[in-house]
Amino acid sequence: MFYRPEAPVDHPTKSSSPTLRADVTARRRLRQRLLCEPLAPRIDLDIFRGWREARDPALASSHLLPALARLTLLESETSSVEVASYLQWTIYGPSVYLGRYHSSSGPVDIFFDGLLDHELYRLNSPHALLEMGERGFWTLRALARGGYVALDGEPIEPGDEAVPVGNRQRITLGVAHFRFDILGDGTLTSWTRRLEDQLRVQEKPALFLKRQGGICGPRHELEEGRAAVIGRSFPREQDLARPPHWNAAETLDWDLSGLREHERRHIGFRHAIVRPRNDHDWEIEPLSLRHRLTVNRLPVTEPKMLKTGDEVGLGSILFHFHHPHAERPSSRATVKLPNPVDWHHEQKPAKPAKPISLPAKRKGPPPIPSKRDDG
Amino acid sequence: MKGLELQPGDQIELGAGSWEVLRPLFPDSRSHAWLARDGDHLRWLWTGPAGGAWADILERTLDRPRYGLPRLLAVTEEEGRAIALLDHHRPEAPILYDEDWLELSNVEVIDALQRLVLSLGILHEYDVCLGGLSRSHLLWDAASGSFYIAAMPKPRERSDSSEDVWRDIKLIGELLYENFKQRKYPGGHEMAAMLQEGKLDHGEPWQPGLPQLLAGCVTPYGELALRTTHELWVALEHLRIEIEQPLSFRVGSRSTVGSYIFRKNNQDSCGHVQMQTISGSRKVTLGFYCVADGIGGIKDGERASALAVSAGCAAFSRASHHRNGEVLLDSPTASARAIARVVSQQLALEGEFDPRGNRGGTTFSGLVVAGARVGIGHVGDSRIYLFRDDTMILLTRDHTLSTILNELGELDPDDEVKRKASERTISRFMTSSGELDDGRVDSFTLEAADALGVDIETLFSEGLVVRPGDLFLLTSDGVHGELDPEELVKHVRTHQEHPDRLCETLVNKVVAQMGHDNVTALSVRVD
Repeated sequence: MFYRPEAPVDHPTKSSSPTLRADVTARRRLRQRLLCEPLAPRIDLDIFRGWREARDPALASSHLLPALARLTLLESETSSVEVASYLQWTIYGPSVYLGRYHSSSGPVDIFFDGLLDHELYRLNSPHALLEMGERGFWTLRALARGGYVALDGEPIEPGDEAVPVGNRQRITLGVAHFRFDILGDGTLTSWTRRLEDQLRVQEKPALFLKRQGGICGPRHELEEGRAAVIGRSFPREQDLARPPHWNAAETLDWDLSGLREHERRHIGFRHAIVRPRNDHDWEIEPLSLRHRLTVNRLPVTEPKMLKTGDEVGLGSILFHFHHPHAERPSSRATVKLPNPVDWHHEQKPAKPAKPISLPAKRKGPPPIPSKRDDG
Repeated sequence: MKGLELQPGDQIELGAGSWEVLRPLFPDSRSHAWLARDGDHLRWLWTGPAGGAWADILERTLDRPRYGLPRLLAVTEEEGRAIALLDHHRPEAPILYDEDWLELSNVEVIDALQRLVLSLGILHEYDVCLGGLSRSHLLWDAASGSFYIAAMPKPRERSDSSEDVWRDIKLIGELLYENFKQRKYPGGHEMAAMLQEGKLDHGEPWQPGLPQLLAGCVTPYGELALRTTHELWVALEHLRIEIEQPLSFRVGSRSTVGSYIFRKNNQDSCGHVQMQTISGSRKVTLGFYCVADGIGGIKDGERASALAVSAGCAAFSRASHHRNGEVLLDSPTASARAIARVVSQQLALEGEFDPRGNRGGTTFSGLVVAGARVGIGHVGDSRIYLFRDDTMILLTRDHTLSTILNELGELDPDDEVKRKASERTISRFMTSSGELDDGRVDSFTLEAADALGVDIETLFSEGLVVRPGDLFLLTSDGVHGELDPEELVKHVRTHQEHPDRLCETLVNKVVAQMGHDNVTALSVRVD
């Protein structure tokens, strides 16, 4: 006897029964949930690491803005059964990019952590855009060529007009199916007012962490005349040999090690520095060559001046820059996304082998080869 | 006035039922315990002296289900005797026959006696003793390997005298002796004399730990006497450690560049750390074994896999030095995943320290051995197999495009070119340009859990219990991607007792058939 990794039940074939398939998927989800439970509370990773990470509990604090909508993963294309309570993504902002993170196209607002590998694989970066209009109506746009988007089973092509989305409609992204729920009866005006109320009490220039489209509790206040280095814990020289130029910078002004597991993985250890440009203005400059810095979702490689309302991206996460003395109380910069990744040009297999040419078998999503950095 | 005897056929009105006495639970009539029936319900009936004291003790100690003890449902007094109705989940459990007891292994005996001691301990906690425990108070459940206390004819308030404890526990010493020595207990006086004079027992040497325990049970007096059930439980635990056959782990490994002309360096690495301690007679092995298959440019792939292996071994060593490896012993699977996690962090650090030069990545599959349990942490397309009971079980899942396309139902089994290409495209690995989050460090698969007959939750929380004869095999895809599964199993079967010879053979076979990759195999044999 010999157990192969590809057990026969893995492959959906015409003969396999739907119940068996559903059962297998349920067990996979259970396993995935076990894997996604953070190791840290059960195990002290510092014991293995040999040096200490500063995990600031404040980084877990909750949203300052009301929840506007929610996407809930459903069991299948035809089922209305929710998969699990943890496979829900609440939306806190009126304009959210959906998909997964890829370093060449910058952060998305909602990245679907916890999905199974093949579901993530079918998501682009970004995949779709959900926006709330003035009166609380939502619309959906497909963004990426080769990324399947459908509303109640009707495909939406990239380049199509934004399609209105109603409460409890079904949104399909790649091979994952979600129910869209509108929460509360807020409008864009009321949401903006809430945001401005929160920002008004902020007396110093600050970066607010944004999650799922809206600012939340964690923030870093900038001290007048003083630069701030943002990154996450790295070992001291005595704990791990490192190049001399790292030795000058012992401390971070904002340590983001305490972010959630999937949020911190693309944060550089010394990622960026925010420094005063003159008496009033601040600029940001990347420190890491390996991790992406964006402002308003466009990559930044040189010092760039920040304006209030700018959206700063470090790796896969976003921050809202607020300057209390700005002339305009801009609550949010207009974000223009760089062109979505054209996955068809990214077919670089990891090992010496012939490049893969994957024919699209059906009208839906053509396959996307994995880009290695997206591991 | 009626006596304490009930007769089969007697009808007893008690509780909400009318109970027909079926038979005594024990051949010894002094046990005063019977099996009774009302319709489909089977219960126990006990008789005891009237006057309230006996019934009070039962009401106090058996008012709810307690470990190894029945639950009192009702008690009544009539004409000079008290009758109690009791509920137990195995009302028809048989008495223990000597031959069954002698057939049990030493470990099973210690398990059963420790459970019995827990039940006795509960009674003693309530300041009640049995006034002498005998075989005619105990039923035996072979399925769970447990005794049930099924009669309490003479319970009484426990005094401070060590005799009260001794009367209840001396049977434990007798049962222990009989199983270990496979002969009748010679009686307390003879045993005491034999122990005092330090004689061999019938010319045979003693099992280490056994005389100490017997001396604790044979008399209530003197320094050696066991004074509480807790002391007895601990003494049994010590005996268990003495008889435990400690596992030993033998390892073999081999890694070569292979024979493919386009492969100029060996980007595979493998390594292990193993530590064995004996303290308090307990022999404990802690070990970590891993393979890593580098990806990237020529230099970078080699560097990444070498770094992963050394960082993995270092992370394991730190954990093994922290409180005697407590974290590894408590949670081997989480530990193996934690090692992979911090290795990926170190790779990311090295990437930032040298952002222009160090751009490699690597697979990483690691096995943690902690005592008798193992855990695995896994990223990429290297593999960990377990060969057990002549069956090869793959414990890991390949993180390749092929696995994903299979899941999506988009891989045509007849399209070999596409299949091969997707098998060689890795979908998850460690890289110097970012750290893995916990959720992406994999472990045992569902298929492995099914093949092993263990819940996936158990494998994740407690790890896999190893057995003598198990063989773990860790390979890079230069081995499992080149050899047919049948051929792989054939070699494992042939060399299962010689891990070094196995690795040697596997690597030589691949080299001989001009494989396309570096070739690495590491195997661990459990004896």
